Amino acid sequence: MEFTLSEEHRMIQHHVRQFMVREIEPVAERIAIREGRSDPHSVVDEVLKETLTWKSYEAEVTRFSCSRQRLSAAPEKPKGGEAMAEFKKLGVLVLTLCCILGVPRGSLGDVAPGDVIDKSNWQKAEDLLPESVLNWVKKGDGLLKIDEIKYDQREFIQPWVTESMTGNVGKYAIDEEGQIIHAKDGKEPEFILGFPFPRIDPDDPRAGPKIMYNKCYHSYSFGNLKCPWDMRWVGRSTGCEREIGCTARVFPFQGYPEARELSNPKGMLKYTLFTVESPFDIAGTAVMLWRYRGARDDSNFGYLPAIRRVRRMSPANRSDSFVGSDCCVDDAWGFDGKVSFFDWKLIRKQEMLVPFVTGDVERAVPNPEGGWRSTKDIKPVSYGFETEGWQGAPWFPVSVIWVKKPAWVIRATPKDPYYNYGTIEYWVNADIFFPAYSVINDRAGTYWKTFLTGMSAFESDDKKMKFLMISMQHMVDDRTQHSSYVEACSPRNHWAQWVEMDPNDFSLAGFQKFCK
Amino acid sequence: MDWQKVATGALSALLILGLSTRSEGFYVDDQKTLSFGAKAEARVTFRLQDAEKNGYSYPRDVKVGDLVQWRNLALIEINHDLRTLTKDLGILCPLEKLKIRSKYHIVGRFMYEALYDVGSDGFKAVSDNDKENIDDFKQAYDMWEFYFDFSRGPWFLRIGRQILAWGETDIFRLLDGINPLDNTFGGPFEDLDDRRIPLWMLRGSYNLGSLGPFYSLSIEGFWVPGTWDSKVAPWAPFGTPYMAPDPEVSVYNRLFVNPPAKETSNSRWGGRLQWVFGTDMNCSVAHYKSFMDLGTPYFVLAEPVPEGSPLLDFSALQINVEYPPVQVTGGSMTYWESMTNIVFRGEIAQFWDEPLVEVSKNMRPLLADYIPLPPLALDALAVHAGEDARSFGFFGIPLSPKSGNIAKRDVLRWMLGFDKQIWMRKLNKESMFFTSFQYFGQWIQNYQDDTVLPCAIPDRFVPGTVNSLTGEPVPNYLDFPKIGRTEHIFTALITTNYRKGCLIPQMAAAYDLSGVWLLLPSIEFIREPFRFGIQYAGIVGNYTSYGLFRDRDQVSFTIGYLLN
Repeated sequence: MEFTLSEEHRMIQHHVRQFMVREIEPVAERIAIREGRSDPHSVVDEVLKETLTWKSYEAEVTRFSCSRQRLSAAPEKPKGGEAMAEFKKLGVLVLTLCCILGVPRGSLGDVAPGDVIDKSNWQKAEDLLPESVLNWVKKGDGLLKIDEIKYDQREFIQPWVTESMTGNVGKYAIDEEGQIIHAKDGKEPEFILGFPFPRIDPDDPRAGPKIMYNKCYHSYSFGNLKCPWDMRWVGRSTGCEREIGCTARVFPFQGYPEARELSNPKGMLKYTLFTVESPFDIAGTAVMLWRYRGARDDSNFGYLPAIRRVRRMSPANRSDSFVGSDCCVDDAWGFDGKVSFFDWKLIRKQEMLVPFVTGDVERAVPNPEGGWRSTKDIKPVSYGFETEGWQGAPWFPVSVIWVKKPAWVIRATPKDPYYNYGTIEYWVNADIFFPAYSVINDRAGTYWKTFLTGMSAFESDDKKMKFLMISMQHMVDDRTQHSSYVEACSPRNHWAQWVEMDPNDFSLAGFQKFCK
Repeated sequence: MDWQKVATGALSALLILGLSTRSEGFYVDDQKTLSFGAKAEARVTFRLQDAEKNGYSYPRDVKVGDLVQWRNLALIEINHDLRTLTKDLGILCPLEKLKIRSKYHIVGRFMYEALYDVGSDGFKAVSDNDKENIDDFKQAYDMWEFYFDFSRGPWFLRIGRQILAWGETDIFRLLDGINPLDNTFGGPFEDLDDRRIPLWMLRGSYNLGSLGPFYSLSIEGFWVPGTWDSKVAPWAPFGTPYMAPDPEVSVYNRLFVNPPAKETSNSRWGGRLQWVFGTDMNCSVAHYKSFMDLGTPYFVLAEPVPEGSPLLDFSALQINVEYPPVQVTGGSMTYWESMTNIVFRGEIAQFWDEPLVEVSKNMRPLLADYIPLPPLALDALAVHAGEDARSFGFFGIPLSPKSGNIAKRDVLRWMLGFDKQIWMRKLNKESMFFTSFQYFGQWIQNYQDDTVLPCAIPDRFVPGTVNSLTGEPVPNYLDFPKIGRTEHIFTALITTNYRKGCLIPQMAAAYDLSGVWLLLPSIEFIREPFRFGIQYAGIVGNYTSYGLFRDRDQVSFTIGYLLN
């Protein structure tokens, strides 16, 4: 179906009013009061008209059906007068919506539990997924079983994090460098418990980094983590090509009550220790990372069995391919970079479909090394290459369900000019501040690959202990038609939180315990 | 039939039968505390050039395309974290009570070098001539590594057969001279780590934590009891493809390698202090006692010759190879520079009383006066004995020669290098190129200008001397490549990966300022569970340093199978 510009215009107005009015109205109202206008909607209309003067750009987008990411990475629209300068933030928001709506479509996205979305009815999920994921469905690489989860994810956030939803309101801010500071005195906080920015104002130009800091501190609330995991390489025609087995140990100095008591003279944010257990030729490789608070770069140490030595490594190569896979180190946990090393921009809030391994709550048991862990009874993810009769992409997670969740869509631009990614669009689950998707463009701004993260909920038999854990991480490189996925907590990989760990293990001397 | 060969074959067959499409980890328990791993690998190497005319590569008739290596290796590895056993097994209860974490690591190694059974007649002959030695050398079945780890808080202890490497230098060994190297295969073409020989060792460290600007300060020590393990780098048997080039003379039959005796005085030991300075600089200082990678030869007389008496029985002249202990003091640092994203490395080490070869000391018997004989008599003696005394500097009968001894000098070695990962997106969009450069230098203190490598330069003849009976010029075995007061070598390495990590090209090169180039391009291809590799090794230039191997350019093909 072809759209004329006027039809588009009407459609945009309709959608803005119907779906985005809650986001836009407060801003429009403020502007209308200041300008002495009686109808805030006239402000919205004015912005829309200004936006639609970009005919040539939109026409090009329509003609080539470019990705939303390209469109949203377009140059800032020119300022159209004094009043329009006031509308900048609003304009960007609306522009983004225009871009979404600017691509021809048959119907609006809406799904219900029980639906199965495939290439015959992909339109139903159109507004609920990154375009790259939708394209997988369109071309038959995968299908989406729409369902619900039988719990509220927010109830599985730790109590101290929940308390921070009120306790941390207005307590922290972000400075020009992108670092967290105390809102009162501008000093760097030594310890933060829970979400540092529990309330996100979409008008706040720093809403993007605030959402991502919440993500980081949510991760720290898991305490010391011990995570055995496997990564598999899957090709379209080759199926499963390679597998490596690893264990990650994370020791945060923030985000959970006991961390407050830790000796931290260097201002550490977290230690990470990562060991490779298989295959034989790289088994024994180990990497230790010290991440500091503030703007300091990480300290990185690597042990290679080939040289039998611990060697300092550059911390600035976090966008390099991880042992040749489709992922880089910063992709881990949905995002494992330093927030201040990127420029962030909140694009919009919307609904999205999030992959879940199961709609049920999984069982947690006490971990022999302290804390709690998953069990072998956890539901595994089945992939296309291991599913008989599967016609789609061999890497598609066939068994997962897709559940509607609120999302913050944020765009990150790396400050490092040598970073291998261009812009990255994170679709962050607004309930728990955890990214479900990272849509990655190359440095030329062309779409490249998409990373999916799935979380599962766990509770103890007496239902007193509840927590969330990553159960799926999955990168699809659409350019090379290849994928690398992580078997996170699974029947054979028991992930544990709040594990008793010795900080000595993360010293230069202690690191040697993990080396051959 | 060698039962060892059968065992190796059976093991290989078992591994092949266990073929899977990918290399998964094998764990015995849910908690992944007990794991198994295994690898089988075969490497065949072909010579790419004929042995140098009048050179000292053996067999002398080795030609382009001849097999010079068929090394079969199988490794089986077991790792067992005892954390659950300490809870369940009564005998290990003390560990649980004392909150000591423990684990053990075992690597069994099976090696068989098929060259001497299936190679050219020349290598079969080497085997026949030196059967016992070669049989021992060509196959090995060892408990290669076997150690227990114990740790509690800042304490860490590792007891057993293990490898320990200190310092920051690749290829060259400064602070990394603790474990001996196996020089019997591969020589300079071989990865350093494949050549390290584990030692029975007690090693411990203590994390001192922070102290002023020093972070992660730790002290570490090791002790290899000489009564248990005084193993040193083995001497490659004569005629094997990677032996140092030496003339095939009768005195070689009287070469006695005397490794250090198993006694307390031959213990290796050492200590190291390491820390992080600021956030970007790692530093360490260390001192240790060990043995050099090559034994030091010197000429001795089996029976002393009284003053004024001639040496009539040349068989009294023999070569001893010994391994005097060396103490090394040094330090290292690495520094990551954020503006350039370069990791700078540096290391310096003083080797105290390092054994060297100085002609005037180590070859003292060859410098003795002699009772001159007429050329015709020397010609006749040479024909009769099969070798010419003039090759060793004797134009007559040696007069009261004295045994030599080992020269010892202090030697300072250093390395400056840097590593940088760079994007070259026109060549590789997905992975960075890792580049590494090193400058290595050494300075011999109290240097004597007769310091040499104990390998005769080929194609050298005693000036103006021709055996009148055979008409052949007389080879000069006393023309040795010199070691300078200072030596300088540059190395470079560049590598990346393609096809999602399955194709790994690498280029390594070294240049010795004395005029020698070493080139080592290689490529590895991964198709689970196999590894395929091709490596070319070529040396051009002068006959010094690794230029001694300049007539042994080769290409190696490797196939490996990983059980996990």
